[in-house]
Amino acid sequence: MANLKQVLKEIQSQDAGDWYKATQEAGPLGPEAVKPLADLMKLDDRTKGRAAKLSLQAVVHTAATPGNEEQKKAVAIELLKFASITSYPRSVRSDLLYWVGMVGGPQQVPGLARLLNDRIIREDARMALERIPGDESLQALQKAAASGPTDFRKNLAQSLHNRALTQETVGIKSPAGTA
Amino acid sequence: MSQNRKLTRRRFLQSSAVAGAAAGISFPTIIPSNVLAQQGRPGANDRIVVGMIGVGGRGGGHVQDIHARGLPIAAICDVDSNHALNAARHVGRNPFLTKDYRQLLERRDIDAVVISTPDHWHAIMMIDACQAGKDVYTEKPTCRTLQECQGMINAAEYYKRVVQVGSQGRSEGAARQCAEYVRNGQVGKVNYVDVWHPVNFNIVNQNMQQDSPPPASLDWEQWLGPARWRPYNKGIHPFNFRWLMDIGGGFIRDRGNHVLSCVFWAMDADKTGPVSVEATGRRAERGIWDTPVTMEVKWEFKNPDWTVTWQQPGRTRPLPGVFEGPGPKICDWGAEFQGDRGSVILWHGDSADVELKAKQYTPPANGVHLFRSPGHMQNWLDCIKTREEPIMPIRSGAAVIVLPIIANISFLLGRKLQFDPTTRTFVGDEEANRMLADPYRYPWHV
Repeated sequence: MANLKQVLKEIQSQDAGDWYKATQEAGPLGPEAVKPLADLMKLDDRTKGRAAKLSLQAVVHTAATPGNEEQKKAVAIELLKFASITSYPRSVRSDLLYWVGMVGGPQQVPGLARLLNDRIIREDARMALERIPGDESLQALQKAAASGPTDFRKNLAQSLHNRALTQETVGIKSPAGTA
Repeated sequence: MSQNRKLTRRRFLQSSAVAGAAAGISFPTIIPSNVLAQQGRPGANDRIVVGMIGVGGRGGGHVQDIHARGLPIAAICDVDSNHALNAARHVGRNPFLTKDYRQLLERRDIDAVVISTPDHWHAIMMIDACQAGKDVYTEKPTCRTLQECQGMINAAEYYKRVVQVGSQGRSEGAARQCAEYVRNGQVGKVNYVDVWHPVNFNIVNQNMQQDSPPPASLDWEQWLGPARWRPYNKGIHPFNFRWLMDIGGGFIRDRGNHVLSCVFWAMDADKTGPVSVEATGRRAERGIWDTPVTMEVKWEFKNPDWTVTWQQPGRTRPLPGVFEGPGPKICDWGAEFQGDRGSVILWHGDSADVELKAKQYTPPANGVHLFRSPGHMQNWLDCIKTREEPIMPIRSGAAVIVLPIIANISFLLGRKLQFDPTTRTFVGDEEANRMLADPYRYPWHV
């Protein structure tokens, strides 16, 4: 099984085969891989950045394998930590938040709620909260919709609408055609 | 309508001509369709007035088809003004042009719409069109997520709309012949359906790796709509959005729709679904596209037990006895049905063809006889007037699209998934279930 150092070296190689190899080996690396891979996602070299992104994606999905709860939680913590760093490029923060939506839980809700005030990334934070099931994320959306920035409340109302959808009601809109 | 409020044709043209002249645009005459017939549908002898949404590529073909049938195209929507203007020139008569499909849906003169946009728009446009009282022809693939599937089914049924999904294989004679051959037991019990297809496109053009400002003719923000924001890239629009997982989903969700639709028809499987899926594949080493270039998938079904596999690329098959003259003799994508008494090969899934033995087979009088469609678009137009269900209704479209949607999820997650076809949810995999729906960017929602 590859280690983190090996995967990082493969991503920064000049050999396209090594980039692909990295994406196949990265899955089991766990939370300690999040920061270095997120850093490589910032590279100006789009191809290496892509290899880093696909590698981190594999880390996330492997961590979310059923029965892997502890690793999933640890990865979610790291993802949100770096998504909150404003010096990271928007595209990287967006990807990190997308993955938080996949693996995050109640522990990530306060951090995501804070990011609803970050004008650059708030839409991604909103969508992550929308995807994370449970009362905590729902209450965070409700609170932000009631008291958050005025220009963002309709976005949050949309998330609340979506959270309320059921198998029976999805696709059937109110007579006014609104949420 | 009172005399004071009556809008005469002359007054409308005078007022709109003034406004239009100032803007350099001329306006068509709008006659609400419900003046012509009962509200909500055209009369039996009335022409169906159509709105076209998405008129590049496949949509451009639909514009020509609808126009050739003599049906009025009252409005055209495309976020790429080049596409819209090309379509308008073809149609003539100054159709209403817009980048925003909601303006088209607001028009009371339109009875029905044809949706041929990139895939991430299909669900929301179809649902909004149903709510606006329009019948819908929506291109395949049906949609991107299982929540969208349910929303589309609900909308069609609640608003009582005639919806045809553009998997036209079921309107092809050869696909019907194949389905009748299988359904009447000519291969015995089918254990295995092997589907194969050419590989997804692989990046070859270095220019497609660099983001850039969109061309002046394209409203990129509107193109993206509900999808996650990404910068414009020449490798996306037009056509190549197919190789992005969250937009096109690769050939398995694109043309796979065609052949899988025929598989489901032959197996009478529209009311069922798989109980498991396992997908593997290999992506390209570089470029913005992230669908796997090569892919292998296996779906298992229970009660009855059978399996479908997808191989990309797969083993091409020769087609004995299909062609008598020159032309291809090798089937580059299609499906082979393997039963305990024999097998049969279906070529493609849209412009389908089938082995001679299926063409020569006639079902017994008390056997299974399937509907002979007059053509996919014609079938839809007929059903708009009769209010019957077309050959590829939304429920069938949803049943078929489940296969590629869950295959892509399995590929992304890197593991085999158990699936409940009744609830259309994954069993014991929370992350997979979080992918049943996809949050949309504001202001879009189903």
